Order: sequence, then C-alpha cells, then structure tokens
Amino acid sequence: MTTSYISIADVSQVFRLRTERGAEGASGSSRELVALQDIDLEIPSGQFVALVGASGCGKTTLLNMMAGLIEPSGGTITVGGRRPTLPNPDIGYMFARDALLPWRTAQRNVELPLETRGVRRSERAARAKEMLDMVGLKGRERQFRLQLSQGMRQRVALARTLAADPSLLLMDEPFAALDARTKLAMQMEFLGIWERHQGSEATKTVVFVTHDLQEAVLLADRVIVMLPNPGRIAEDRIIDLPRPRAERLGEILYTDAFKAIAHDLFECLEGAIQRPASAQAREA
Amino acid sequence: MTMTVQDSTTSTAVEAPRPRSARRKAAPSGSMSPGRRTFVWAARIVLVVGFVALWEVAGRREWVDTTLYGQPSGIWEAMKEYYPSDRAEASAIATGKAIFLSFVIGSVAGTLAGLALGLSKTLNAIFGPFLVPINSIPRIALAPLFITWFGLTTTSKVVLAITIVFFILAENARGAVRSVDADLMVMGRVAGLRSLGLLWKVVLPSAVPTLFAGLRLTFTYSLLGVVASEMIAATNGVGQDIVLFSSSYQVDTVFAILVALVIFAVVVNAIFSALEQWLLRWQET
Repeated sequence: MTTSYISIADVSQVFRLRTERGAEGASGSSRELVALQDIDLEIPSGQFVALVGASGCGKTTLLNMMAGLIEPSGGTITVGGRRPTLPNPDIGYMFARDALLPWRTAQRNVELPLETRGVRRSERAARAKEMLDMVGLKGRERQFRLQLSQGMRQRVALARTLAADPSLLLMDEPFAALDARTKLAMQMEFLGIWERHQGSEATKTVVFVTHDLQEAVLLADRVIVMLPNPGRIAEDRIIDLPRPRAERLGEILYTDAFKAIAHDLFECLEGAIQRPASAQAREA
Repeated sequence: MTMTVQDSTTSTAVEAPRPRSARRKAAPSGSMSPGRRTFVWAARIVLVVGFVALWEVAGRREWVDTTLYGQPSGIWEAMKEYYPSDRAEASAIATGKAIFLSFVIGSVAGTLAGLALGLSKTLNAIFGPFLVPINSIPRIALAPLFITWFGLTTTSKVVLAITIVFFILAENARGAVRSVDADLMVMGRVAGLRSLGLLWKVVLPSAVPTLFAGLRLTFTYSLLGVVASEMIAATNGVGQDIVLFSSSYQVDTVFAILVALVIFAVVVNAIFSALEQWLLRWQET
C-alpha cells in the first residue's frame, strides 16, 4: 500500500444529467449517471498501466481524476501521497487531439510546460529543440501547427508532454487519431523513450487510456479492463511479455503469447456485452 | 490500348508536381486566371470612369441640377480649394482626435468588459441580459442628450461614438472568450498554467482573430458616431462642415469631404489588414 505511487480507494463518480425536455418550465427531473463505481486501484511507481474499455466506461474520467481535473464524488485518490491538484509539475498529459497552440511554433509549444515551471528562456529553447529532435522533428522547430501533418502535430504534443520530464504520464488515447502506420511508428517511439527511462532516476509511471485492446497489451505492463454502466474494473492483468519491446512491436503482434493474452482479454471485454461469435473470430 | 493507359498514368505521375507550381504562380493574383483578372480590373475602371463621365455630362447638358447634385469637375475644384484650407485642417484635427479617442477608449473598455463577461459566469449573469437591449437603442438618438450634458465639446462626440463601439467589442470579446477550444484550456491547465497564465497564453491569443474582426467594425463605427454627433451639434469637425456646406448648397465641397473620408477609411483599413496579416501569420498553411 505504501509502495503505491497512485492509490485509488473506493472511488466513484456520479454525473447528474438533466433530462432533456421540450419545454423549459417542465419539472426538471434529473437522471444520475454512475460513471465510476467503487474503483480500487494501486499503481506502483514506474509501471505502465493501460486502461481499456468501450466508451462510457469511465476510463477518461479516472485519468482526469489522477490529473486533478475532476474531483471524485466519493472515495479517495492520491498520487505520490497527495490529493491531485492543478497545477501539478509532476504530470505530463496528452490526448488524442494534439491541442497545440496554433499561434505558437512547434518549439514554443514544447516550451509551454517549461515556462510554467520557471525554466529560463535559453534553457527552454535548448530543451525544446532536444525534445523535438528526439521525436524526429529536427528542422521543424519554427513551423506552426497548420504547416505540420497530423502525425507531426502529435509528435510535437508528445515532445511537449515529455519536455518537463514529468514522473507521471497521463495519456488519453494519444494515438487514436492517427492512421495505422503513423500510429505504430509513434507507439514504437514513445515506448522506446519510456523503456530507456526505466530503472533510471527519471523512471516514469504511465497511465494509458485506450479503446484499442491490442495497443494496450502491446505497450503496457498491466492492462485494466473496464466495463460501462456503471463504470467498473472487470479485469486486472499483468502482461508479462518481455521488455524492451519498442524495437519489436511489429513482431510481437504475431507471437502466440501476445495473441493468447489479447484473445483472453478480448473475451473479458466483449463477453460482458453479448455479441455474435463472428465478431470474436474477427479479433482472433 | 493498354499502352495508352500506361502512358497516361506514367505521364501524370511525372507531371504530378506541375499543378502545385502552377497554383503557386497564380497565387499572388488570387484564384483567378490572369486573363480573367485583367478583365475584372478593366470592368472596374470602366464602371468608375463611366459613372464619373456620365455624371459630368449630365451636369453640363443640364439633365440634372448641379446646384443639387454637384459635378465631378466642380468636386475637383472644391477639393483643390477645401483641402489646403485652414478650415479643413482644423476640422480634420478635431474629427480625427475624437475618432482616435473613441476608438481607443471604446475598444479597450469594450474588450475588457467582454473578456470579464466571458470569463465570469456571475458577471455575465448580472450584466449579460442588459447588453442586447442597450445595444438595440439607436445610439444617434442619444446625441442630443450627450450634447445637453457635455455641451458642444469633444467629449460629446467621443461619448456617443463610445456607446456604439463599446457594445460591439464587448459582445465580440465575450463570444471570442466563450468559443475558446476546450481542449486547449485543459491542455493549458495540465501544462501548469494558472488562471492569469491561461488568460494570457491561451484565451487572449485564441480571441485575436475574432477581436480583429471586431476592431475593423469599431473603427467604421467610431467614424460614424463622431461625424453624426458633429452633424447634430458641434463647434467644429468634419460633420459640421458637411452640414454647413450642404445647407449653403455647396454640394461639390460636401462631396470633396466625403471623398476625403473614404480615402481615410480605406487607408486605415489597409493598416488593419497589414497588422492582421502579421499577427495571424500562423494561420497560413
């Protein structure tokens, strides 16, 4: 318990939805949506955890709680022994949309988290250049968002997320908007960076939200399968595929070990929602 | 048959970069072909010259009464006479000063008020509902009141223009703040920005394109407000001159003044465009 970096105990989240009525004066009956119910989760420092589930299972809500963007309606959550609040210099956060500031150059976007941490200008510039170089965007420092391709934008976002060297990476479907090839390249790049930091002082804990089960198994140390209505944890599985994996992602996809785990978790994920056998066959 | 198909595919593959370079060449002259562009310009010139010529002829042949409608040659004479005069200089300074003051004060105050309304739900709940009704008052109707309160002064003109400008920009800035991309706000917060940093580094830059569109409009309206106020009552200014020369049937001089106003507006607009292009250079692909 004390060794956990992130500790989630009995957390629930209830959203009150006002039911849509034609007339505004109609008695406002409200419906409760249980986004998360009785979540217990312990994440040790340096672990790569993937939260997988269909939309509406509360995985993003859980991630946003860890970021300090949302307060749970019940239960407690601590990150590094403290209740998460913003601003938090220990986190890096990335989502599916690049969320780059379009009026800033790539380099100045990467500098943003450094600015808020009081890093000096010259140091910021050097660090940002280094990060852009690391994600393969050397020479693109001065380009604006609109001049970059979708994949490049997401690379800049990755560089920004990593720029301040946060100890916790919160990622909300970071590669979901990319085409298959760019996605694989980004996964390799990101996993490579993360694996290189493992064991060092700069080791990073990752909470990675995705709806893509294969991606989860491929990248993570541990996959948490979540189910909706109410949002809950259905399965918590350690993925014991050997590391480092970054260089071999393409091969791993076709290994029996990977297929067995993915298939097993797929049953768990889709089994709850009764679906025709053909859909399961497609996945395998 | 197969040969031709293959030929055509290879040739398109080789020539693929061509459309791009062609587009780049055409880019400075807009999306039109050079021929079409020449035609459009020719048409514009013919239109203007034709209109002026027709006006001149109509005056000379006495189809229209030049005392009432003026005449291009007369306007030209009036321009040569009025523009260098002391009266014109004094009027231009008085009107220009009032426009400048109302534009700056109205825009800054309006933007700040709009930002406050956009950022604070409470403030917006209190003041928001007043915006539309107040903004729907025909502001010119307030001119006599301001003249009663402030006398025949610059203040009267400036206040009238501000009542127009302020609300345009307040509405504009409020909308701009509200439409800031929610993802950018979340990103700013998790990147470590606090409220002031968010305002300065996310909200304001997001609002710049909208604010600029509003500023163009407010310039036009401060011109309108000031001139209208001067026309109703003032001791000096371009608006007074227009009234004076109209009532004394010096129609050509009135047109000369209008020409000057148009030139002024066009020049200021061009400055805005240049500034906008520089500020929004990141929007170019």
